[in-house]
Formats: sequence, structure tokens, C-alpha cells
Amino acid sequence: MTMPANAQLREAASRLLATPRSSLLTLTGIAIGAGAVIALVTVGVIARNEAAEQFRALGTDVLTVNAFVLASNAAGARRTGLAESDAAEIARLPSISGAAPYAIDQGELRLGDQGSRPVSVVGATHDLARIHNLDLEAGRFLSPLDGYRPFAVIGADIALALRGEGQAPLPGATFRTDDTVYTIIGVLGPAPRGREAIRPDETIFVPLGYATRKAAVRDLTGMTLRMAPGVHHLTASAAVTNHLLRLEPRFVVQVDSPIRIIEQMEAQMRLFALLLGTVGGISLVLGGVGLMNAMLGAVREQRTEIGIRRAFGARQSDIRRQYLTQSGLLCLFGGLAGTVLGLATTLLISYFAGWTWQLSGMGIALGLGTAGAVGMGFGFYPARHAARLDPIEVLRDG
Amino acid sequence: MSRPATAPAAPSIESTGLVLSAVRKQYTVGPVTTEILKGVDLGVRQGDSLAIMGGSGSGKSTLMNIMGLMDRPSSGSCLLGDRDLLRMDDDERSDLRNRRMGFIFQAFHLLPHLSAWRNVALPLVYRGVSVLEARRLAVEMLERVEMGDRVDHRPSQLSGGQQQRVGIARALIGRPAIVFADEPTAALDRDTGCEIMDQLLRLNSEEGITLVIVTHDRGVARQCSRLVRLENGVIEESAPAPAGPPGGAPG
Repeated sequence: MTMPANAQLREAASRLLATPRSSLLTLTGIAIGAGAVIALVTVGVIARNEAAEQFRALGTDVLTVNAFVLASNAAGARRTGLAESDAAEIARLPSISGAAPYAIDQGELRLGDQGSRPVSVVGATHDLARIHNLDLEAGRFLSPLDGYRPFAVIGADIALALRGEGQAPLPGATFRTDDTVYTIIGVLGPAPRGREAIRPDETIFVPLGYATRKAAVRDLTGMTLRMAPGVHHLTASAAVTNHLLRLEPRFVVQVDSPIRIIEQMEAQMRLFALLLGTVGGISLVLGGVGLMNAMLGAVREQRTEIGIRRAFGARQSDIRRQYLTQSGLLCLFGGLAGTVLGLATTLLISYFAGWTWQLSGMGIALGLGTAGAVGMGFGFYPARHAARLDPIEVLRDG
Repeated sequence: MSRPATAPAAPSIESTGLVLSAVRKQYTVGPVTTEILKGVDLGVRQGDSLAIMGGSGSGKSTLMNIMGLMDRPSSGSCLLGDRDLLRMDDDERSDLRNRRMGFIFQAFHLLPHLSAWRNVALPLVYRGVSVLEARRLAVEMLERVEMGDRVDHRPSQLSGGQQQRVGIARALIGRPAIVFADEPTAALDRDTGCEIMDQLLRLNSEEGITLVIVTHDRGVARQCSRLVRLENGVIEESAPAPAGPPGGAPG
């Protein structure tokens, strides 16, 4: 006959409550360890998602292409970079469903009497709105009919800056940059901050024809491609690269895929999370050593009690379970306190880093799981030691 | 004096008693081997009240520990009814202690963090008795030892005599066949010691619980029905029950 579980729990709880200070200290050690694991893993996950989110804004089925001929290699080359006509050809490749060519230039937005702020002036075609998932708040996006006219679709921040100057950034209104007076044809809504070369909020989109005619260098800065559904990014990259090299064998072609970058980043972040988890694990092991120390101390202090219990019929397994239950309870409550502590820490970190906080079930499971494992692992030796005490000896000494 | 042991009952632990034969016990510490018990033969019948006397180091506590299944002899045999105690594993011995034996200690050995009733209920904990039932039985037992008004007191709030009463209640709650008392009155003043002895002897005579008392108090020993004197690990003297009812002689 052994002790039922609820009686076991009650006994263990009353034993722990009998020495509140030592119990609390041990619990704190476990809580800090579990909290560290939870906080570190959760922060790792949040950071990774935060980074991946930057790409998801654009979608993962896009490629960014750039091609140029090195100056040292330029003699005899037919071309020096990408042209608008390449986009249409690439868009016809089977693995590509759309291409948005663009040319990025820098400009100064005139504000008030003397004020100005730097902006990107991006020459683009109507395809860019679709491929970059841009949302219009007013007016329309660029169209092939805009030709070479100084029309502009302005980003949300630009609209805000103009409004700050008392101007109404509405279609039909005009504004000045350092060298041009543009007529607004559309206003964009706020776009998620991506990692791409184009940041829509701080950009003035103008017709590609107008931009290239005005610029000294007529080559495109690059193009954004959307892949056909179900095509692997490596297949599409290879097709685009081959196509461009056929046009100009001296091209240096760069094709970037968010998937590839996300994969790289995720691999890095996994390593990071593993590293952080290890640090947390080490602190948890330290907590476990603290637990073992406290439990051994408790067993030493409670030698007489163990002898008494044995005399009145407790089996070795009852004693072992009694001390394992105590360790388990300490770890359970330590783990729970650690969860609160860890999540609070990640909330703070997210708040100061400007990240979107999110719950990581994996982090909590890992934290609680390791805390539990530590409890059983480090609690086992003291429990076994207690169970193997010779009742006569401990009663005589007591 | 009634002796249930003489009643013609089916052989059971209660009716057949405890028989030790040629029990030896030695300890080896480093190169030195000390023989504590050097061949002890002893039979205890159900309902006996047996006093074990002897100087310190005579082996009386070791003998009691072996009888109480807390210790194993180095050689010899030990039968409780028809069960060979030496062949039992630790779990069986624990269960037997829990169900058939009760222990009373010189230092009371109550658990300081538990109330009186929870101390009394301790043996029941290892039988899976529910808390409510355990409390009911413990309170009942405390009332029997005149401690019904101290049910929720902690040991530190009780006098020595009161603590020993709680100890007696704890030893009895499991309805044991044998109660072992190791110097139960040595830590108490004379009057309180007498009260405790009276209580133990009353249980012995009224309920037929076998009582084994280790003592070096002659007055205590005289109240028992049998006396065994140990000297140097052997039984020097085994006296039969004195005339007159046990516990009848005051003091």
C-alpha cells in the first residue's frame, strides 16, 4: 500500500510551506532559469519573425534582378545595363508572371520657403503597383499613357510632409523638387517597411520614361519580378540569368530571392535561438544545482522525520516520491513564475526594440519542460538519498 | 488477567505472537566488528507486556529494532506468526510496520510542522485513508488519550506528557497488534511518566495489544507482565509475570 497522489501532494506542500524562505529561494533559482530560457527563445522567435515580416510585405514569390557590365569589361559590350524593353521580354519567360522595371534617383523635396527633405524619385511603370502590392489612397497609379510627363504618385510620408506645409496633397495639385515641378496623380497609403531598394512611403513614383530621359545614366536600377505560381525560385533565377546573359554575355547578373534571404536569415536565427537557449539552459542547470543543494539540505534537516515516517510504514518509494514531489512542486511553481518573468522580459524587449510581441509556445514549452526535467533530474538524487537513509540511524541521531 | 493469546483462535499474527531464535547482530565499523546481540531467544505472546531492561550498550534497543522490523539480524530467525520476517523485502516490512506495529519514542518524535491530529493520522496516510476519515479517526484516538481539546495544536504548543499522549495515539491509530515503546517515560517527570505508563498498560490489558517496552526504570518494568534483562548481548534474566494485575501497583 502506498500513499495516494493527492495525499502525497498535500504532504509535500505542507513540508515546503514549513520552510518558506528556503522554498522561495529555490523556487527563485528555477524561475530565473526557466524565465531566461523562455525569454531568450521567445526573443529569438520574435526577432526572426520580425525580420521575415519585412519580406512578407512584398511576398515571397518575387525576385529582384540587377544586371550591369563592369567598366573594366565594357569595351565591345553592346549594352551597359538593363533597359525598359528587357522587362517586357523577361515577363514573357514561362517562369515569370510579371516584371516591374525601375530606376532610382535621389531628389530634394522643396518644403516651404527654404526647407527641403531628401526623397527617392523612382521611375516606374504601372506594373510596379501590382508587383509591390501598393495601395492607393487617392487618384491612380502610373499608366503607360503618362509617357514622358512629370506626373507623380507620392508615398504616404511625402503626403504627410506636404500636408505639414499646409499644402493639400491631392491629385491635380503640384509640388516642387530641386529640379522639377510635379503634378500629383495619386497618393499611396502607408506601406509596410520592407527590405527592398524601394521604400514606398518616402518615394515619389514618376513615369519611367520621364525618369530615364531626365537622368544622365539611362540604365535601369533593377527590376522586381513576380514568379509564375509554383515555380521554385532557383528555377526562375536561372531562367532570368540565362536570358540576360544571352542578351549580353558580359553582364554581371544579380538575382535575389526573399526566400533565399529568409532561409539564410532563419538559419542564422536558429543558431541564435539555439545559442540563447543554451545560455538559458545553463542558468536553468544552475537553478537545478541550487534545487539539489536545497533538497539535500532539506533531507539532512528532515532526517528524523524520514525515520519517523519509515517507522510508521512509509516505503522507500513513499519517501522518494515525497521528495520528488517537493522538487516537482518547486519546479512547477518556479517554472510558472519563470514563464511570467520570461514573458514580461520579452514584452519589455519588444517594446524597446519596436517589435511586434508574440507568444512563442515553443519557448514556453521549452522553458517549462526544461524546468520540469531539471526538477526531476536534480531532485532525483536527494530523493533517492532520503529513501535510502537507515531509519534506525536517523532516529538514534535525531 | 485476560490473555487473548490463550484463546483457541486460527493461527494468525495476532494469536501466535513473535518468536526470535538465535538472533545475532553485529556491526562492522572499519576493522572493528562489534557483536551487539549474541544469540537471543525470545518469544512474545499476543497480549504480553514485556519489559526489556539492560544497561547502555546491552543491545536492548537493537533487539527492539529487530522485533519492530526496523533492523535485520545478522543471523538467526524471526517469526511473526507463520511469517518469516527475514525473508520479507523492505516494502513488505514497511507494510507490516504500518498495519501491525506501533512505535512510541523517548523523544516523542512528532513532526513539528504538523498539528496533533495530522501527526496521529500519519500511519493512515500510508494506507490511502481519505483525509476526512483520517481526521475523524485521529480525533477519536486523541479523545481516548484525553487530548481531544488539543487536536489542532502543534507539538511545540504541547507539554512533554501531552506530546507523548499524541505519540501513543499515533502508535495506536493503525490498530496494531504490537506496540514498541523505547523509554517512553524517560523524558517525562515522574508523575507524567506514571500516567503514560498507566495508559499503555490499560491498552495492553483492555485491548490485548502486545506491549514491548525498553526501559531502565525498574518501576516501569515491574508493571509489565514479563521482564527480560539483557546484558552484553545475551538474555541474563527472564522473569515471569509478577503476581497481581499489571498496572495495579501505583507508581
